[in-house]
Amino acid sequence: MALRVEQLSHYGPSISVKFHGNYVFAGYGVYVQVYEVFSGKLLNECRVFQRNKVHGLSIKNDTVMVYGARSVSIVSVASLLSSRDQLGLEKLCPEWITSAEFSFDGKTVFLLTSYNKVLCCDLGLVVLKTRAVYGERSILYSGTITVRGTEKVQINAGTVMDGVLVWDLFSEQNMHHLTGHEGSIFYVTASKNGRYVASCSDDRSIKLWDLESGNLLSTGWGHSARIWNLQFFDNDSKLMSASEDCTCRVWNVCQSTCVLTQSESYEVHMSKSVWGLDVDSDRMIAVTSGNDGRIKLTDLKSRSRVGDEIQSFSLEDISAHGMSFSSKEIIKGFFWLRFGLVVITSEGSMIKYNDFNATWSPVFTNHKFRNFSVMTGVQKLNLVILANGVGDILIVKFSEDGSQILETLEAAVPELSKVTNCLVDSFKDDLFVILQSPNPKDHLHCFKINSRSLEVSAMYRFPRPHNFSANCMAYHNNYLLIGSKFSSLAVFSLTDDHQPPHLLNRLLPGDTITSLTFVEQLNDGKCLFSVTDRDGFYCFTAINMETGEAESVLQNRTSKRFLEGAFYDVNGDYITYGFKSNYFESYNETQQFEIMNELCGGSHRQWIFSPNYGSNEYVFAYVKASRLNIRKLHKPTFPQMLRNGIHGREMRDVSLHPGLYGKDQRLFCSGAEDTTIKLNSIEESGESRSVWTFRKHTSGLQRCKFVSNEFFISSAAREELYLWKISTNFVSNPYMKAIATLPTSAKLPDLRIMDFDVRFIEDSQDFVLVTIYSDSAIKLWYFDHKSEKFTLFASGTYETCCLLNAELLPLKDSLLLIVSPSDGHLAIWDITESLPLNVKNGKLQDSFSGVSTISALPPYFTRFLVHRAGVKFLQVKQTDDASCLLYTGGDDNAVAISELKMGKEEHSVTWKILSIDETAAASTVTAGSLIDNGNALLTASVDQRLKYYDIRENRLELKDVMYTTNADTGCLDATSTPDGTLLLVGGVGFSVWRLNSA
Amino acid sequence: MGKSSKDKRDLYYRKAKEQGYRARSAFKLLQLDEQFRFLDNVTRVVDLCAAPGSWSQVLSRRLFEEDPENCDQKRIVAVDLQPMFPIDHVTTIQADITHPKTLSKIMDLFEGEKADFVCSDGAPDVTGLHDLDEYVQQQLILSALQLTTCLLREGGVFVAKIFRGRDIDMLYSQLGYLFERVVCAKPRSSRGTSLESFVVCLGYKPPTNWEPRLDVNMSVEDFFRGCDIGRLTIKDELPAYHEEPRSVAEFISCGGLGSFDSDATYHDVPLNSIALDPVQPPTNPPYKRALELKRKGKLTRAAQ
Repeated sequence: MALRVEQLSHYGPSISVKFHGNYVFAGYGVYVQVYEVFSGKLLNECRVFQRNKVHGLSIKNDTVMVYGARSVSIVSVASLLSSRDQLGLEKLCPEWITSAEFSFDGKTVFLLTSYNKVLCCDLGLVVLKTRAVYGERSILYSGTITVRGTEKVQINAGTVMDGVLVWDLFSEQNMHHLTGHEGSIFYVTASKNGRYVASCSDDRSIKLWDLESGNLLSTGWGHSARIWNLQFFDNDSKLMSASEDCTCRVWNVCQSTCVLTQSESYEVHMSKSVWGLDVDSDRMIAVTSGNDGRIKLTDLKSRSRVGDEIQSFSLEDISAHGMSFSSKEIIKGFFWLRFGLVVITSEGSMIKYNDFNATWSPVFTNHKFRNFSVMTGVQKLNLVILANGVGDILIVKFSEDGSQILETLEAAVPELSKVTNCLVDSFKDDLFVILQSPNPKDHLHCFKINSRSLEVSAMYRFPRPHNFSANCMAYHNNYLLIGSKFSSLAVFSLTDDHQPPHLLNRLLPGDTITSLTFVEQLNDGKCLFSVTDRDGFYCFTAINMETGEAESVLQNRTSKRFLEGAFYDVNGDYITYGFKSNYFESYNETQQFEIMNELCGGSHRQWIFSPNYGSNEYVFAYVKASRLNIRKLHKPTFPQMLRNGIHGREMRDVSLHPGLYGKDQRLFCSGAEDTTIKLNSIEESGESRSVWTFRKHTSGLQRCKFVSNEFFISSAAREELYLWKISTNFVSNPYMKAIATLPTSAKLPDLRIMDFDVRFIEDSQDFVLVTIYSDSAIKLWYFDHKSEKFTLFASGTYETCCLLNAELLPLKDSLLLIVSPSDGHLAIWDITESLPLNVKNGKLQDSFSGVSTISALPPYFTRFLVHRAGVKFLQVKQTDDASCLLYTGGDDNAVAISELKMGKEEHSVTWKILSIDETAAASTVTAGSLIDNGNALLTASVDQRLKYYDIRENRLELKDVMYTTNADTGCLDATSTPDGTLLLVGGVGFSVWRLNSA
Repeated sequence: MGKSSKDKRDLYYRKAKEQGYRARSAFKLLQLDEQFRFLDNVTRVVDLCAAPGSWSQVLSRRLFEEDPENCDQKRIVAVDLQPMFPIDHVTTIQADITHPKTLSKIMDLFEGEKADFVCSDGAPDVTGLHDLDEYVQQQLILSALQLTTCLLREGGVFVAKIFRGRDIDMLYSQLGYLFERVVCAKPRSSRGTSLESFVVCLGYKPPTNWEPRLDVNMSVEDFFRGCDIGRLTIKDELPAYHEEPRSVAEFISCGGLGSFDSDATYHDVPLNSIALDPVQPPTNPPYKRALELKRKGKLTRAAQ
């Protein structure tokens, strides 16, 4: 059996990034990736090291020195741009390389090691001289080399225990011992101008030191976790920091007072640690890389790159354009049209701002709209709608450039004594305007208006449901959908306004529905809408408008923000916006990054967020301290992301969806220590992309897997277990929703559901579920598909230790449960008697008729010791109707094959270990999977090795060992494809492999 | 998490407090000793990276309380860079384990006699960069080992905390040159979900023609040069990448199956129990000031 192995892609921590001309060089595991900045294109990926990760890059005269751990390599830019690997150049240093730089003339290099020694080498890496400060022995966490001249080289060393040491390379003399920090020094660097040293440590502060005197100049506080990287930029007038708290921040270095002041904070990475950082001071772009495997570009001039990003006006400023306002006059409403902004004041004056020539001009004054008015509009029709408190509306339609009023319409609903809200939507030539009164008994009044002539073509009076307060609306196909407080949504038919609407109650866990956006129409006529609520939840609901039947296919929660709206952008990314404490924020939910934020003071103000003229251009206008502020978001001139990563923390489980998605894509879910579950898609090339990030669990994931084409289960601490339903029949995206929650028993936050297994009832969507717990408990459940409910029918315990894996195995007319605990045993139960249904010929038969009492699980009828510590993976292969093979791997570094045979008599069983490799790995074997139709076993272990065993002869015959760069290797999943086995390996990051055994 | 919720979560944490140990890690040494009996009949022992001192407490009880014979001969020395509260029968030295002066201090206390047993439960703070964390931990072990080679008698025992990561087999291989038997032992009191284990090195047998000598100007690589385990070659050229010797140590789980499983959740914590105060209050973390500022709302994303 010959095995061909190919790693298709890999995502994981990137520790180092560097700008070089139009390129970004990124250390990515054992590779260097080269990106073109403006296209965002990955030009090449070149493998530079066998095993070690790239921790740093230094570039001079088109030569690159790459270093990481004890490896170092000097490579040309040209070869990094074109070749697949440069492994022949990798050299090993006896100690960890903390930093490396070229000399002033580029003819030699300096390697600073973790023992605060510098190896001076030629370009062939022959050591010419070793330099150190005599009598000084420190171990370093960090360090940089500042090359100021041929004979002027300064070493900035950050020690584990002893502060910062600054020393001169050639004199081998200490210049300064800087001791103001607490804890280990994680980064230290010097400014080019020779004035400063900046350092950061475990104490989470940044300290700025005077290089000449060694005096502490300033301490910068701001980061909420450790700081890993510091870079001076913009002629040493600014400092940028990158931190464990996922942000990078800009600090101004005051040239006169030498005080550090934080000026900007960007949330750039997911869950944990920004590692790499570089700044292009000419273009004012920062590049960062993180533990999440993301490489991100950040515009440091996002408020000033074009020049018109921020505008701010008071009425007094506006009056300079030839208008006068009374002293008490304030801005009551505004709307952004195709030429700029239209504003209504408390005196009923309508004024407009032409964004192209930056001029304000009056439109008219209408006293009906004094004091109270609501302004809304439709940008594509270039019109605004004003409504006052007594039922008058005024529609003003402008010419393209806003210079003329094309049409106006004044109308009224005399029936309404008071009006508090006005909502609008349009479709083709029709405009729909809804007025709502504060009296819940009043009807909702709707105008249908021809948007060209502004003639009213119809009026509707919709009966208002109980407890209904309209907040947003959408028109679709002769129906109006209105979102309300109390999370309800009403579907009104325009063909018959006497009919009560279809009412969808409690659509989301929060209160007020803030937006409704049509997404797509399905073949069966159902329409998919995106719905958001103010409490930060969103969902996608497929609605049959005729019958009012609706099914939520996705529901999710954003992280701690008020959601005001969401939509798919031109790239198919789901964009959300809303408020987060004092900020307004727009967020790319698909790729999980912040697009913009604006310190506007919070949500209690007049504001609009609207597309601007082109695609990917937006305007956020708001009133703060009586000033009207306009913040524009231009289309970025460079990509915001060079590579999107995955979880920022360890992936705990990975599971491939059994089917294909589209023509050649697949879907998989990953659950991680960061408590999220991601639904991702993967191309044939191995390229992968996150589609959704679910925040349903409240603790790190233990296990997650697809149990059928339709269902997926995830488990975690706090006894959390959710059953998810995945929908793959939509064009816009795959969707997934937790449809059932397993009941919990205790309030112990530590009680974890370690694993579970499922067996479906024959020809049914119902199934039997076993869950095993960290307190040694075992529970058996019946899932009824119709009611979407779990019913507990049996429970018991093993001993007192933690249980790790469970497998349900139907053998002939009985159902076995195999459990692997943390004590190294495999324990076997016959649970047939406990089942509220029958087992026939290895199949569970549909005879479930409810549960009257919860039966006690009998004690295990046998157990046998296979491992000397916890069994971390268990795979079972049935060989005939009375026996099976068990494949296990453990914390004891061993992998084993055992055989279990049922005897003729009840509960008689024999077992034996057929094959065991006691030193299968140097550390814990964490995962294993049967592949190639059960002819091979693939294992993963924490020593970052993947092992392929031929098991056809029931022996562990090692065929191949692969190395993975994903540390803390903890999970894998595999599926067979026409091209061989597709393998996903997860740990810190993940990798995609293709195996071919011919 | 408050102290009472941790009580419920972690039985060893509670047991440690009940029995007066400064940290739950005391049980790790107890369970290792239960398996290997390496503290039977020892006279001179050294505890490196000893703070807060729970291993020294175990050593004190094992050597003096449980075996009161020849107490006048017995010596326990605990070394750490951090200050430690006194422990009965233990001489604490606040010093750097890599410094030659530390060695001479210990040798003075031992009156020139060599130690029977050296242990180290030290671990650096982890950064989250797995390769760096593993390297720093291995350097710490090698630093402990270099001092050990200077003061351990032939046939003596060395025990150290390890993290079983990517290159742990390289460390096993290095230790194999100096000891008869190298075992990777995992006490039941160490969480199965953690990479933590202990390397138990039995039967110290230094190479015959190698004289260990501590020098502040030498790295551990320099120190072990000439005893086969160092990586530095005499050549001035950095060698091309090559695989280095690796070997997998035998694995032993200790503490017995009857002992508590540190991964398990236990319900039967006595209901009437009141939360016990930690025996040793936690030391001030370096980020104490940052936490204070955060509490006061001074660490915000906004520019100040």
